[in-house]
Amino acid sequence: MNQPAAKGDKYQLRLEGLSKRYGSIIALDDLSLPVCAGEFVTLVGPSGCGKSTTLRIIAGLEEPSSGQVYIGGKLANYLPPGRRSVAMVFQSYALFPHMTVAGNLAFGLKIKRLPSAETKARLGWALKLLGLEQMENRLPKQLSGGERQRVALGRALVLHPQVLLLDEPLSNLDAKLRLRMRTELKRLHRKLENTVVYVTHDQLEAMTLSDRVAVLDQGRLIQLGTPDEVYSFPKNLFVAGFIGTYPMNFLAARLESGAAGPVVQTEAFSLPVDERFARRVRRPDQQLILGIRPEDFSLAPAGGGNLTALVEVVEPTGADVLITLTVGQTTLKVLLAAKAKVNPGDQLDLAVDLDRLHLFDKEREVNLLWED
Amino acid sequence: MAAKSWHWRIILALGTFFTLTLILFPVYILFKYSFSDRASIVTGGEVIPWWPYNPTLEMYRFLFSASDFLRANLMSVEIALLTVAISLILGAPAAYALARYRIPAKGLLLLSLLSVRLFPDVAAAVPVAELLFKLNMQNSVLGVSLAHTLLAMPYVIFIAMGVFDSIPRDLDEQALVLGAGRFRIFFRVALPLAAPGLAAAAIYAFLLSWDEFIFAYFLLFFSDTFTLPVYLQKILSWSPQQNLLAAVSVVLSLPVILFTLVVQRYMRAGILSGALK
Repeated sequence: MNQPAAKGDKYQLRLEGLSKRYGSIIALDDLSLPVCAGEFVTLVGPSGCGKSTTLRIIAGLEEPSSGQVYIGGKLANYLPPGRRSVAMVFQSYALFPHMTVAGNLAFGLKIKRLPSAETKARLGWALKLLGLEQMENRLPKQLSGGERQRVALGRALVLHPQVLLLDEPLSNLDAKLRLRMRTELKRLHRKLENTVVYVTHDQLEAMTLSDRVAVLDQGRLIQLGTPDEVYSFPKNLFVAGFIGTYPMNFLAARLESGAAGPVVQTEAFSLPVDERFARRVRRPDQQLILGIRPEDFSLAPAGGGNLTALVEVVEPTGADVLITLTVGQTTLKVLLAAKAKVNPGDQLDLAVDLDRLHLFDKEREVNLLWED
Repeated sequence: MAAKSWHWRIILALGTFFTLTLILFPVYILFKYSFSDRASIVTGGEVIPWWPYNPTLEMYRFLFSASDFLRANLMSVEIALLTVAISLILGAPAAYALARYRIPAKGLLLLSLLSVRLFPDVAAAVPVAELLFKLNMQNSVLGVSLAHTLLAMPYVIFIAMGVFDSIPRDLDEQALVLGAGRFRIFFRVALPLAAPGLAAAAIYAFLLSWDEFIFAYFLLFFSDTFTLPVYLQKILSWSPQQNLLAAVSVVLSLPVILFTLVVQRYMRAGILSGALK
């Protein structure tokens, strides 16, 4: 499917020190990102983090203020969008409303002046791949949202681009369809093994689809890693708070030495931790933030847990139940299996998975445990 | 509630009736006169009848046998169509560029486009006529068309700019990423989608040229063929019969209606639906 990358560069796409300034606003700050052939990389972050700008720079729709874009090992900075061997699916799909499905799909092929047999073959291939065989002669307005989405995708795929750029392709679909298209995208990627850069603000999409996730905040690349890495080893408070379906609990804390070793002391409770923690904390009065994911709590036998808390709100989500509890002045969010029968007003004994704790420096906001 | 809506209906019906009467009554009078016999106009003190005593097509027969009238018709049509063509061919790309590209001093440019219309036509007519005379375009269809283009262009550009603005930029950018050049984007994406709006601009330009008197009057001063408005002025000076004038007026209105009907086919609603989301 993919054209092989040029020799001397093992990356299909390489971004080097990309910056973009609009007047005094820095939209993108020194972003470097290598993407291997066949890799699915997602740029994720809140709106205004620079992810769409990055995509538009790769596509050639915007010029970087500084930095380089290499596509297939070749410098692409000065190539017009149509010569970069990239294809892009816009958030709005941007289907040409006056052209049929076939017309839309063939638009880019016609410009390339492929032999008509080849154009026809690719058209048939895309229609079949995306299940649009019966819709060839329809206009975009006669299609459903999901079908339009597939046409937009097909229009990009028929070009056999070296890099496929997807800008929030699922955000316009309703929840059910979004889930289905997410699976569809993943299946397509497994089949075609194309190089994909995907932009989304939805961390769940990023986690489920990607080989690697790039978390951006305020124009800077904060962390690049596999979905598991950014989930389990978030580099700072931002990543920890952004990644994860339910937001991480953040508690002001200090490291103290207890009788049996170091303990992390919060306002409401303390947790015994290993020497690793002590090595990472430099000063005894260092202000820390303890991070615990809601899913890293479990029910403990009475008196056998790390803390006891009062249940305030119970929100069943089907398989799980999200519980809001208080320990003294502290509020915690905890995710338990739905079979745990919990009612507001209950006192719960909870155990914390001590291997999955996160400890941040309050001032620098970095995760002390995974700091380089 | 029911009573109120009942009152409203009456008011609405009366309002509609009066408005329609206001618009249609003069049109009716015009038509009636155009096929009235002389006795129905000069009644010798009697009330003029609602319907002619002896409806006749005599005036039309006379008009369509008058070669100067026919030539005036032809000239008006030629000039109007040429004006539409020139102002669209020049105006649509200009509007696209103004709508899509960052152009230095764009505001000033737009203002100067409009400035043509900032002073009265009668003041502009003489210098424009002199310029065209120097270019040897006196008494010519092209000369009058160019003068009319001058008048129509600002409107065409402003209408077309609005039309291009309403086409999502995503479509341009998508075409660009797919490898299309600026010309292909304009001709294959922007122009087909702008067709309904441009049709409106075309109707406007046609009407403007069709109606225009002052420039045509000066530019065709030494001509023996005139546009219809100038022709009308010429025959008025012989104080012709009212029914002949009415017939001329009716004939004057027809091509505009015809042109509008033809161009209206392009004015489909919802041409952009399906582009986004």
